[in-house]
Amino acid sequence: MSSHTIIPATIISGFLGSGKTTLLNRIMQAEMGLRFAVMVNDFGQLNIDKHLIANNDGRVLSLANGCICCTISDDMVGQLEALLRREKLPDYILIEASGVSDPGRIARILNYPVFRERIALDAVVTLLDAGQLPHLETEFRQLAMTQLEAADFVIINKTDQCNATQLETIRRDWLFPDSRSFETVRADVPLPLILGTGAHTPLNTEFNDSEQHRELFDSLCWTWERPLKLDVLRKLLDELPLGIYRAKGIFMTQEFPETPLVFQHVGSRGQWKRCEDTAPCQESTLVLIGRRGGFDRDTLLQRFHALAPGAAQGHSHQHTSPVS
Amino acid sequence: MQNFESSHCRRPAQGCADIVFKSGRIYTAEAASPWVESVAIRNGKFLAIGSDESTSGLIDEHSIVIDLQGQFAMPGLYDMHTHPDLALAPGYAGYLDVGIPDPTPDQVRNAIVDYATRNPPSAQNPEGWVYGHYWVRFNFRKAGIKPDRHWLDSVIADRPAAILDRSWGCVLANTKALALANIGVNTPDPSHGYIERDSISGEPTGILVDGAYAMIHAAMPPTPQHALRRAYRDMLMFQASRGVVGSKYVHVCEHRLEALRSLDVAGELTQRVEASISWQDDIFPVKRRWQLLAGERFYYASDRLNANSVKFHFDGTHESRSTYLSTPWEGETEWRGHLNMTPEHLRAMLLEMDSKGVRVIAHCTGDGASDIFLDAVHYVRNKTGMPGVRHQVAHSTTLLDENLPRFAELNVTAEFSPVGWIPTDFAAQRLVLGADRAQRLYNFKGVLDAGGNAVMGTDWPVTHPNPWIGFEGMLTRKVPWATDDERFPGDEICLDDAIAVMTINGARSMEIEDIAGSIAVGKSADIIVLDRNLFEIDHHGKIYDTQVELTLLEGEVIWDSQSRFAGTPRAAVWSEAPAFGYC
Repeated sequence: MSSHTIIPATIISGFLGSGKTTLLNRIMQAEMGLRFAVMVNDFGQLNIDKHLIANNDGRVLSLANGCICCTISDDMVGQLEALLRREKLPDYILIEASGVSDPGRIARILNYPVFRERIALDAVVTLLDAGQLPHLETEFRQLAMTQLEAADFVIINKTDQCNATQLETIRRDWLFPDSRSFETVRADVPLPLILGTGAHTPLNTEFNDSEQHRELFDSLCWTWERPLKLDVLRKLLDELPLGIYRAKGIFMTQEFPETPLVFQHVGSRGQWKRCEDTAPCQESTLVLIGRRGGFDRDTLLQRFHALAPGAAQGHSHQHTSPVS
Repeated sequence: MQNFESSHCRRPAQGCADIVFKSGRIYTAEAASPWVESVAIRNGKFLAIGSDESTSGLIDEHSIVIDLQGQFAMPGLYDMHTHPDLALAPGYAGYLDVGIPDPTPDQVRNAIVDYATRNPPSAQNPEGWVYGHYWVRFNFRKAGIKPDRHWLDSVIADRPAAILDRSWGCVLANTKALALANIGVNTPDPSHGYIERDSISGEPTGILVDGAYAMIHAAMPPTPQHALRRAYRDMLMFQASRGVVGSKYVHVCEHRLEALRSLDVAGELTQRVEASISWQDDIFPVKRRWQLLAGERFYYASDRLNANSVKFHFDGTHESRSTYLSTPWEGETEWRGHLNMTPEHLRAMLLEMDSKGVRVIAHCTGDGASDIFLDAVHYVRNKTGMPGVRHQVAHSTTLLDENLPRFAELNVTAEFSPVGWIPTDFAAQRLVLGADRAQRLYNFKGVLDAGGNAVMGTDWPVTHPNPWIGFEGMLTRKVPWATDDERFPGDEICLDDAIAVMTINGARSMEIEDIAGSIAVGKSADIIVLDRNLFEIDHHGKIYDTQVELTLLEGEVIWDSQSRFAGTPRAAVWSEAPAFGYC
């Protein structure tokens, strides 16, 4: 599995006024017990308790709880290199892309060979302002397309500023067939779903979120005791229902009997990784997290079962009753 | 007509002028007699300079006499670091342009098929590469199509194809293109970019990000000759219209030299051009580099064109914090930046190039890089003595104060580029080099006061090719069109010094100062006539939009906006110039 030095990162994108700062403040105040490094356009916009500020050299703001904030610059590569040279590495990197920028550009930089062994992009989250979207001029339309094409999660925010018909038009014009989206007011999204805080590893499906959010989501866990056929498995996981927002699994396959394969699905993007340095395990495990009622459990269970008939078992639960 | 001079075959020293400019305010850039009223030109050289009276006897019926009526004239300008090919040639290459604002995958498909049909494989493009822009990832996702080589193979499989995406962050290549570029499972990623792969099999998906598309460029045919030729030609027209008579076109290969040579042969090389051969393959491959340096460069040489010069990137850029500094970067304990060559490698290369008479132009943005470069020149001078070849520190964004006298001592030019000494947002990015370096950024004054040769370059397309913007900026350290009083850190220089930087110092950096760069009897008749007298106007906001009415190189009229030579046998080479943006 991932070495502890790999730092997850989330890129938050969207036009000015779409709710990026609201979302960032929500994350910062959720008390997740993580030391965040936050790269923002203007840290004056963040709700930071002055008493928390341990040091401010104009470029980097250090907080008493171990978090740091810095102003994002054109020199993303240099800034990330500097971040990784710090004595105390952050647990999580949050990057607020400027309102007029392409978050895909930042995502690509995180994938450069110099960074990808140290930082793992968890997700690009793009916020849309439901009130603003229908009125975009050409140039901004193209920018919105650029911001959406890189998105793993789409948050249609400020839904109180449009009616049901407008919302439906937004969904039709702007979402992709595989988009995982949230519709919110004040960017109130279930944070554990959009942040890769490790809350959904196969061994830990516990949620740390409000009751209100918890009731909205279901999880499903499945294990197989014999090696699976990779091509059939990949096809199945490529076609996860839209109601599934996150998935993580570790698999033993017939094709790679000595090497466990790790699968992670965030929003609309699935990723595989070969774990060369991990010993083969006895069983394969998959955990899915999705919107309650957003996927057909029976069909999924049947497909899981069909992967290795007679040797599979699974369980599902709602988050009010976590796995023990 | 060939009428060369030699020891025993002199053109008559006496005789009448081909052209006489009279009644002007002519600044010569010669300390002994900075101002004259008239110049007489014969056989491409200044025959006489002085008062109207002193040249009047040189006029006969064949002479063309231009009455300047008090207008200001001065020597022509020098842009000592610029890249017209990189700025223009890709746009002129005739690559695929889908030409629809938000093309759907089907529209991209149709455009590729149509382009491929209209552009079959040819002698210049034997494999029939289809290269161009662009596709839109949004529309692929909307259509539920994965943009990968399999999709592109379904459009065109028998010819290599590579299409840029709209945000220009990646290129989508088909299987054939990947094969020709030798991109496979085991190909290592470049450092600033990557080959997107299937994470289990390692097979390339066809998406190549940032630095990785240089691998496609390396496999493609070189930029077409017609595009390079047009790029240089447009720049020559533009520069003639701005009074430029000498340039260093930095980074060339055999194809670029061929384009320049063809313009030279056609009589359209309206400047003296030093074309600097790329020492590295980091911008484009130079397949004949060693042949060129062994002597093939002389094939391209003429009195207007030479390739006795190499250019290399010694350190990096401030954007990637790879500028190599003399002390760690701000906020760092050890990181000083990055050098692309060790000091030992540099010394060996410099010694070899110096012995061949080849100028080394070293990209040194950081004061640590130029310190090592000057050390290497010191090593060479110790071995082979002074003066040697006048090498060049390129960019010189920041220099150590201790090094300022070494430019004169070691016979090295300090070239300042791009135009970052005025407070634009672009220039402000250089301030990341730290507060204590801010005052020393682009230190023209420091080099000049220490007796060194300072020149400037536009570094187009990094900054605009109009040299007058940087010229004014040297005098004011202000943005010419700004209404506020914001200054860029560092010292201004005076007008006489700025003119020297733009003229005679440029000639000196090309080692032609004995024949060009100022207005003196016997020197090449390179002169420009302006719509304003630089000595009689405010500097701020008044110099950068100077209009050049006449440009002469070797007595040849290359630009004549007022048609003073129209209808004579000396009509201007160029009658129009491209605009290249706002200036």
